[in-house]
Amino acid sequence: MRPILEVRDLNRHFGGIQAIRGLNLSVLQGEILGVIGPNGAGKTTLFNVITGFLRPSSGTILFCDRDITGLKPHEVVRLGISRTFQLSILFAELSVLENVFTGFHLAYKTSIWTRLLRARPALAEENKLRDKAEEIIEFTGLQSFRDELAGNLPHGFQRILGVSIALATSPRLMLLDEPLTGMNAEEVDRMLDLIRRIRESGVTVVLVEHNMKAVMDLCERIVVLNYGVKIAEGPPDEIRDNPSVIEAYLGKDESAPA
Amino acid sequence: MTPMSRALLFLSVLLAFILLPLFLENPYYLHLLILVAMNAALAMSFILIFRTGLITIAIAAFWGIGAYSSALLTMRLGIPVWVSFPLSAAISAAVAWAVGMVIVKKGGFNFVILSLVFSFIVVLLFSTFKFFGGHVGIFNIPRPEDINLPFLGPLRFTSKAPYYYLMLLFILLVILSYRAMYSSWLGRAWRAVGLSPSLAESIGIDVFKYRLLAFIVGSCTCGLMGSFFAHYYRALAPATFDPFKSLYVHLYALLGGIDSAFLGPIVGSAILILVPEGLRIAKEVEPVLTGILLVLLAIFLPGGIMGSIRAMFKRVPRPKRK
Repeated sequence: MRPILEVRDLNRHFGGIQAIRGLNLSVLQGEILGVIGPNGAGKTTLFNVITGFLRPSSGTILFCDRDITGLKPHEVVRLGISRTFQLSILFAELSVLENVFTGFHLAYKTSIWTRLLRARPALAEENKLRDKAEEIIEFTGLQSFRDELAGNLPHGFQRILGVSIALATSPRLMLLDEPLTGMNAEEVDRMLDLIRRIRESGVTVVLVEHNMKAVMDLCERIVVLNYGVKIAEGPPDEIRDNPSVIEAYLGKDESAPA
Repeated sequence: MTPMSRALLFLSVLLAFILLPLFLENPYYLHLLILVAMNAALAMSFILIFRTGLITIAIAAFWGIGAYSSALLTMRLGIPVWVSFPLSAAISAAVAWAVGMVIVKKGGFNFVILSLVFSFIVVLLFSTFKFFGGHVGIFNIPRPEDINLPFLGPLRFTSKAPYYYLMLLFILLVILSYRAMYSSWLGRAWRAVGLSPSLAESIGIDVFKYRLLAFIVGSCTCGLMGSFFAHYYRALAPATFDPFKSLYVHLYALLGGIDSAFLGPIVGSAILILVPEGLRIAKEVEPVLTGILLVLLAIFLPGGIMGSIRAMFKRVPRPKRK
């Protein structure tokens, strides 16, 4: 399978702290890739560098064989990479539908002048996108919260709304930053089901997550980071038994024979 | 309210304002209404820029740039006043573009301070250089040229009523164009930028570009109001456009309610202009009272007048702030 995203020799440091060190990483078309690692391993930094929220100190990022290193976040989305945030960052004062509808910013084809003059094609386009927003809400299971303010949603549904907004940008690759944080078992199941259905619809998914059981269930392939370095890569079964992964999470067992 | 009844209400209010000069004997009242409308337009511009997350102190500066441009264009270059109105607005927009390229990029507190610094520089330029009239300012600015109306005969700008109608036209232009922008994807992008810049970026909105655009549109409106002001007062002094004026404009917007794009600024500036006039409060005491009002407003009426009225009619729980 062709890689949809390739990260080559990526470095990013904050002053003296090396958050990502010489990272090489490929994301394959159509897979669900899990990125795990202890706190401070550089997972979120990796997402921020890929999506342009941070510039890499050095290295190259290729998306569909196109160099996207150093592009701005709004330029990266335009190419088809969307992301969600670790915190529930939403338009809290807007309704669920308006949140998703706002996510269609890149979809408008008619000029602003035809829209300001309320010309028919511009209004028709807007109605079509509003319908599409409704479709996304239905797909993600938020229709019962359609008119609720985003800030008033239960936490689990706020995370789902975050994914719904990202879906509105019609991505080919989605980066989910800890989508399961703070969720109860039922909410986790709902989110996992949603991520699987998103993949089935043809979107490649990369997620950073601490919930080990969920990552093992969901992902075909897992990359483990520790102190900004990739220490392991492979299918869940291999990762589970990999001694350096266990060491990264639990520390070195001094009593064990070398 | 249905869109139909809303439009009818708007039209009947408009008709009332059109007929008003026929019943107001005293031109002084027309003068006050002109002032209210002009300041309401400034407050509307402030709100437009504010909604993208920028607090500008340069409202008065761009108002001044429009006024001085218009005075100089008509007096030095002999450009007709009617051409000078759009031209001065365009000059304000161009200056906003150039300045905005630098100061909008900074965002947040940096923007607030830089817009204040810019305002001081503008007033300093006006008062220092002879070209701009220096400390004494500019006098004998021409009136708008007469226009020959069909059936009604020539319209001469020698009394308050023609200015009143011109201002009515301008504020209508501002309201209708702002409304069109707010309801389009442009307005939605602005709102997204104001509510969460990083989420806006993540859905493909160029935060800097849309903030800059809001800054240009708002400043352009201020420029148009300044141009009107120049040919209405027919004399300009640099101190009129100092940053204090911007704070008054902020107050109009806050008292009316920052969430109300049109009615809020009108209500806010009407109260703060008409009440001191009615009570005949001396200009020296006014800043003190305004300051007290600002503090009381922040404590007791954070949503402004329109915000409180709206809250009375529908009890919508405010979203939790995180």
